[in-house]
Amino acid sequence: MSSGEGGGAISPSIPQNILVAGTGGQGVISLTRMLGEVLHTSDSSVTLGQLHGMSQRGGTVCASIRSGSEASTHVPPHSVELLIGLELMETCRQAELVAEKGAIISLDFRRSRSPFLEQAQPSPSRGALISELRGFCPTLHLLALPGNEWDVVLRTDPGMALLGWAAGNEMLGLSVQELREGVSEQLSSKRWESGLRAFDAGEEFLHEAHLWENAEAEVSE
Amino acid sequence: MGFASGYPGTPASEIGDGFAAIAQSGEVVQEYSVNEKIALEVAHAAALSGVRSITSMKHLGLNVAADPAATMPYVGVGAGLLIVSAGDPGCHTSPNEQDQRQLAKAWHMPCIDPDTPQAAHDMARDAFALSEACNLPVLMRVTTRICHARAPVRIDPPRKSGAPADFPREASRLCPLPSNARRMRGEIEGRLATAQEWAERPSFARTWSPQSQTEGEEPLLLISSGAPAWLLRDNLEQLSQNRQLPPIVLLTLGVVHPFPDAPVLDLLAGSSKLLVVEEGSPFLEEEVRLLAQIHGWEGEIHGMLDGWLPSHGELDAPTLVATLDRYFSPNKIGSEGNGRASDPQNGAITHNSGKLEVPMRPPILCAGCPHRGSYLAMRMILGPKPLCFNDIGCYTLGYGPPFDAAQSVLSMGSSLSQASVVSRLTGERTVAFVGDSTFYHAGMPGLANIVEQNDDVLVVVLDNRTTAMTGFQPSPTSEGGLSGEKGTQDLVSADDVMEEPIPLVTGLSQEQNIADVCRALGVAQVEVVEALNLPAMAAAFRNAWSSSGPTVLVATDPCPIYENRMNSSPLPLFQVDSGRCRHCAHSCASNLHCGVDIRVPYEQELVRRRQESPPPTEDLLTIPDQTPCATACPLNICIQGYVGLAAAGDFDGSLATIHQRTPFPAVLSHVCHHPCETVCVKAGSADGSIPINQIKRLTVDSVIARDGGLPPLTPVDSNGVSVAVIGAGPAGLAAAHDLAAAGYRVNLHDRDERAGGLLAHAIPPARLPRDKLEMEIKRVLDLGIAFHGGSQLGVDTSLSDLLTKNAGVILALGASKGMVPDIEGLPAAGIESALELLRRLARGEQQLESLEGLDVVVVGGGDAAIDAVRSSQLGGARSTTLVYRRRREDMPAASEEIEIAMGDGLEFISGSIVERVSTDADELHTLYLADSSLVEGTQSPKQLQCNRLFFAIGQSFDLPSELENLGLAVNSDGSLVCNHSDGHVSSSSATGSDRLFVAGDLCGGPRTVVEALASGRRAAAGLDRLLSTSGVVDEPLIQLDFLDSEGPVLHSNGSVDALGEPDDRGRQHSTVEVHTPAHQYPAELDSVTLMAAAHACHFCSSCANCSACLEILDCPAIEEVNGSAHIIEDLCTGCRVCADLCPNGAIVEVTR
Repeated sequence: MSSGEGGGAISPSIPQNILVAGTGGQGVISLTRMLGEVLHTSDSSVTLGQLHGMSQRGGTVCASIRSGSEASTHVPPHSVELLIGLELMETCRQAELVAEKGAIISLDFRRSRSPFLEQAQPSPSRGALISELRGFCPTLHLLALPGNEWDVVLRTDPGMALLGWAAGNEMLGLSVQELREGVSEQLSSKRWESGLRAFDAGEEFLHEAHLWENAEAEVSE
Repeated sequence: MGFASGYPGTPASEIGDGFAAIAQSGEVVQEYSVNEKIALEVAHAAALSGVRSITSMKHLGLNVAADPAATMPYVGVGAGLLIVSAGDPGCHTSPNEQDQRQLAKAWHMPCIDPDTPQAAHDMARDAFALSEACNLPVLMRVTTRICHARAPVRIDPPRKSGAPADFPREASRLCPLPSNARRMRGEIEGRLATAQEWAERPSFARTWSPQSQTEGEEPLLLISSGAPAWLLRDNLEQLSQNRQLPPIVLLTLGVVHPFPDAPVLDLLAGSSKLLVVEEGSPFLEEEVRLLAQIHGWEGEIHGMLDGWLPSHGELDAPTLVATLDRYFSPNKIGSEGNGRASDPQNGAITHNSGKLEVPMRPPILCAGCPHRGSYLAMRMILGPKPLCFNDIGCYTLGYGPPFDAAQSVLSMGSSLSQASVVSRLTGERTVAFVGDSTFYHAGMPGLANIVEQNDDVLVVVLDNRTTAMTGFQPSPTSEGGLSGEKGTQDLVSADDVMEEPIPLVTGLSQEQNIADVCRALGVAQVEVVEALNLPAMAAAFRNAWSSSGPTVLVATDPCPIYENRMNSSPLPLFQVDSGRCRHCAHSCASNLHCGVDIRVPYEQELVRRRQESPPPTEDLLTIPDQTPCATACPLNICIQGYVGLAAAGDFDGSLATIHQRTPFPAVLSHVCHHPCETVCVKAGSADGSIPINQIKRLTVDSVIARDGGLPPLTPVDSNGVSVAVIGAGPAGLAAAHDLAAAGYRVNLHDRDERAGGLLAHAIPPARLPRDKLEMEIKRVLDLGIAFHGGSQLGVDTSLSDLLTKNAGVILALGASKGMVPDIEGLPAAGIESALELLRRLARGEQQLESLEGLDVVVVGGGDAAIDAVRSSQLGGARSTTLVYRRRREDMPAASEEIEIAMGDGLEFISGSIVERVSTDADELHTLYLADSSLVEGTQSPKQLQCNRLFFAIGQSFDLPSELENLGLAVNSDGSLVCNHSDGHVSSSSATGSDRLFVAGDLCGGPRTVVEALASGRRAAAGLDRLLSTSGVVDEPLIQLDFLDSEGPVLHSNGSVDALGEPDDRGRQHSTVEVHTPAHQYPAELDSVTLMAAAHACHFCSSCANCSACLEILDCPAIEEVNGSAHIIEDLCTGCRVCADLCPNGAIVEVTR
């Protein structure tokens, strides 16, 4: 079990409000659905909310998993106990919803925007995004890609990779085996092998980017 | 139920997909209809046939179905008919957020508004019975929050329709002819009354209270329906966990029309306060207010109408909580509902920590999308001018840069209508884009109208063979079946991670052919092209655009996501060859750091040319990494940039590029030596170098001709720091400009009353038009520079005084004294420097005509020499002769001026020097010439006679004695010792100050105009750095080492080393060779020739300043990494458009 900065023991219970953020094509909705199905099986009812359209061609995508009999799909501010981010800026976009004692898991990965959008309004730097996340949530797990041939696997299916890591670090209230079996039953035949491969690779290869060993150290760009 | 139809549209698409999956079992008959009108009509007909039917569409689709929908209540249904229409409060994915409840009321349909996924199931189940009971179609209004929610739902076992389908033969009931319609209308009231009884049932009108609340008080009442009701209960539960709530009763209405009067009146009887919670429109509130008025209920009603809730947008939790807070605690200060609607762009509640603003990330066309190829080809060939009308689909993302392919989007099929009438009224050919699904949905009537009206419209049908935007539902052009009788095609789910493809049974044996349909509608010119074949698309657009009248271009290639999910074979992969890539990143190997915004027109020109001819050959790749022309330019103007922009016809952009480096484009276009042209890679070819400077003049003249002048320079706020520049020649003016542009208060001094130095006082107007010079000087001075004319250093002001009054001083005193050699026999008077002649002519102290009839000899080879020759010729001299110690090709004077002079009869004597002179009483000078040792094999004439003899052998300084008395170190040529990179005169006891800089001739000896401008810029940058205020020029210009050779080295046959650090790709700088031009172009080229020449520029593979793949393709699979273009492997679909686009052939296919 690893811990981010300032992280103590991670709660073993299933988070009540989970938010998944990323860009179109990263599998945000698939991840939410799979996780929702698994959590529903093992616990009380959950409600999944997905706001998407145009099959989200590379745009902002966000989906929620909420527990409770009357839970709607609107996520109240400061209620998210776990924010799972597949892209750094999108994680930052939703960070305000994280509860005071919530946690953030984010891939240390950035997807470029159109140069015209960048010209009109440049994206914040990596360091600025990470500093912002830390400001919202001290329990921040920033997960770096391994920088080897597994990068492609993890980038192609980042949601499964994060699930694997999260399961391995007991962040979802489910064991690795429970979660793996759960998603395994849901993957389509075409994506079964690649999905589980990403899940296993996530557990094994994603590692925490230790950017703040020195408390005042500048976040590297 | 037994029949399902629909047309995909977010957020309703998944409903049709769900029934398509169910249809596999044969339990229902399902179809994706061509449009919503047809979907409703087929479902209604099924219902009339006794089969319970359902049809689904988004809220806008209901408008398409309005025609049959409005009349169906008259006709009735037979078996139950449920119309599901999914709305989009907050416009997450839609162009409007209309409230379908209003339509239901207008059409006399019962309307159900489920508040949870379970309610949607239960109410849908009951809706069929309701529909049959009242013989009316039932409209189910759902919204995004309901449609895109997943929750556990108890599903009733499916029940298949019992009786077989049988269409009733009751024409009087099913044909609403006017006489029947009047009767039918009267019957509707009774049916609605039946529906109202259902609406008032407890299963539809449910009361609820939070678990924890106080007792005994008068309850606060709430009425809601749909998703807001769900949100309301959620938040009430949460609020009740954190605080004691007053008594609350919530009435959730399942049927909103007819309005359930009874339960509402029962609710109102128990209290005097009501809050109606809804979104979209105050539908419920209006009904409640009317009911209250009718029944005399006088309590408070709050909602949208009194601003307690927002009038538009999606209701979100913070807004609702604030409103509830206000409702529960009316006396609490500050607890007001802010009426704030949520921002759907972010997909969740808009947030801003207040610290970091996270920019939007809207969707864009996917990597490999064929629409990108179509748009790219369109803009490349058609340019920016034609109006483009667009439609609804993935291709709507052509809106915005770089394609700007959507000046208007309205509704399905509207692109053709709009293009049609706009073309007709404006007389301009227009372009209409429409997708394959949309073409069949609503485009065909529009095309028929275009043909009927013979409008001058190019219709581009973007056929990606699927309805991609909503989740890859089949379109009529989707790949057809495998057999001849019935086809099958896989429904590829939008989420292939979890769902298997669904084999659909269709009636198609082959896909529909849009081209055939267009021809059948009467379009004469129809062409079908592969959208991702860029050269073919470019040719097709060219061909189509040159036509007139209705024209159709069908751009077809499959959606890459759909293809990838259908096929398992690996996709091709492309990568950038960094050895060939010339991505600018505004920082090339030459460290130019030009900061120039090249952008789209230039890159489109590159790409257009790429389609016409292959990328540069291997030979050109051996050219050094630096851009020869921009490196050789003392100002490092991005020459390829402005030539490229000029070639693209963007003279404004071309001028702006030049302005990045100097405010004197007009002056330079006339007097620059254009060292760039001597190093142009084409200089050694049969065509000769690109006439770069004349292209500059074409740019300037084009803008002046259009606007009457050049655009003014933009003053900036002063930083309050005063600096002084002495000398208002080119170096001084350049320094003054840069300092003023950075906010300094500049005091510009010159001994002459007019600024300009030798530009104004020596270079003849024939070479430098006075109006242009004065225009550019005025532009610079208008930045707020205080010009002190008639202020001579050492006479009217002193250096020490200037250093006292200013934070820094730049001395830009030119070498204004023409040199006359010490030759045997030179008379004491009558022989002078060419510079003096030119100065007198410029000041009007001598007229050109004074040279009429004279034999004039000029000794020298520079600009002053040629200017003197030209002035003599213009003044009518009988003969002009130039004596030069080297060869003609060695002359530093501008070649075109030499050519003009030669054309006007100049005699040229090369390789000769004047050994001695004798003068007779009539002031006839005899020059005795000798061979120059600098040129071998010359045989000089022995003697030469003339009336006037002018020497143009160099210039020296006429420095004030103050400088000499200060003891500043002086070089042998009279220039001051200084740091050559910025002209800084290091701290010395002489001046007592280290804030002294020199520029122009005084820094390194006599210079050309462009060199002087560059020197002035460097001095300004140096002074600014010293003063540590705002940046003037962040990056120093490349310092060309031309100080150690005879004359300007760029005009020699030696090599020039460009200084600078190797780039981060490790490319080492090598030499830039100066070529001897094999071809001399005429001095004055016409605009047509110049444009052709601009087009002929290779944009050298050495530095194309190219960002084409990033900027005009805008493919998400291509990003900039560390200043280089890079293709993201896991996003690349191998469409190869980038490879076909790259002007440098730098994108190649690799093995995945």
